[in-house]
Amino acid sequence: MESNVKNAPLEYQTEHSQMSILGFWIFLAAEVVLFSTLFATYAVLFGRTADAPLPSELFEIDIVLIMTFLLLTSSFTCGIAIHQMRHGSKKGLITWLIITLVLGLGFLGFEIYEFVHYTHEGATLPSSAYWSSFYVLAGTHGLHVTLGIGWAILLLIQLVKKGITNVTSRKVFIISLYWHFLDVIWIFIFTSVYLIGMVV
Amino acid sequence: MDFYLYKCLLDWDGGLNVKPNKRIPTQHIIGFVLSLVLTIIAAWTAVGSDLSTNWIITIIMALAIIQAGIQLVMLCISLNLKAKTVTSLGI
Repeated sequence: MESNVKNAPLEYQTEHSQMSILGFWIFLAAEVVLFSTLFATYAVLFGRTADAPLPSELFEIDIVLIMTFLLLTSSFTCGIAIHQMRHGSKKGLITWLIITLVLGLGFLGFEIYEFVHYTHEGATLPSSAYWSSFYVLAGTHGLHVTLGIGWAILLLIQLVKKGITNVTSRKVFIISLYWHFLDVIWIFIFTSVYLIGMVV
Repeated sequence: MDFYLYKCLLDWDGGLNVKPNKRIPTQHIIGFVLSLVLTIIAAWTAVGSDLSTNWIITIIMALAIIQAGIQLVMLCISLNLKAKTVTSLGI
């Protein structure tokens, strides 16, 4: 085991780092519970739009598809960033992390545009139970993306200053887990909120 | 899905014994392309097909679960799982 650890990637070389990564997996399990409750709330309140517009009247497939492609691509580029880190390429890691960030910001921009558009059309947070649950679910995901972007920016500053070390590599690895997680959550929001909202 | 996750965790060596390779893993690219294709199929099924609502919901939810599985495989690749395990996922 000792020799294995010596040959391990930087982020696994100390017990503290290994425990941090395990701890983050547990955090992600708690996040699954959080989003499960939000999905369940959305499902229960589905269709209760009162006098507000129906989701099928407002959801636009073009924008939702662009948002999905942006997030899926950002997850892919995040994976490449990890690959570059494993290869010891600081420049490659920083470049792919910046690309991931830009894609994440693009996603966020579209989400904000979408929310503003819906609000102008009369679908606001207090307008109906359905729209409340929609904004809370999609908004919580968007908030997580925002936090991820802020986190990644701070991490990029550390990477520029300190390079790839035990600590920075662990942080990059953990943020990649977080980003993949947000991607999976979005797949279910895309399907169960937007696509089903357009159909039913 | 549970079996795949079980296999992933069973064969995971904690990211140990990494042999860095400059090339981007092919599975990673295939997974990415597949996820894009599945997204397009799901969108077309929802807005472009003449199927009944129940069928549309069933198909797009199944596609979402497959997509989540693909993301899991991509995560396994990021975690540096053994190539044999990733192949055994059948993606």
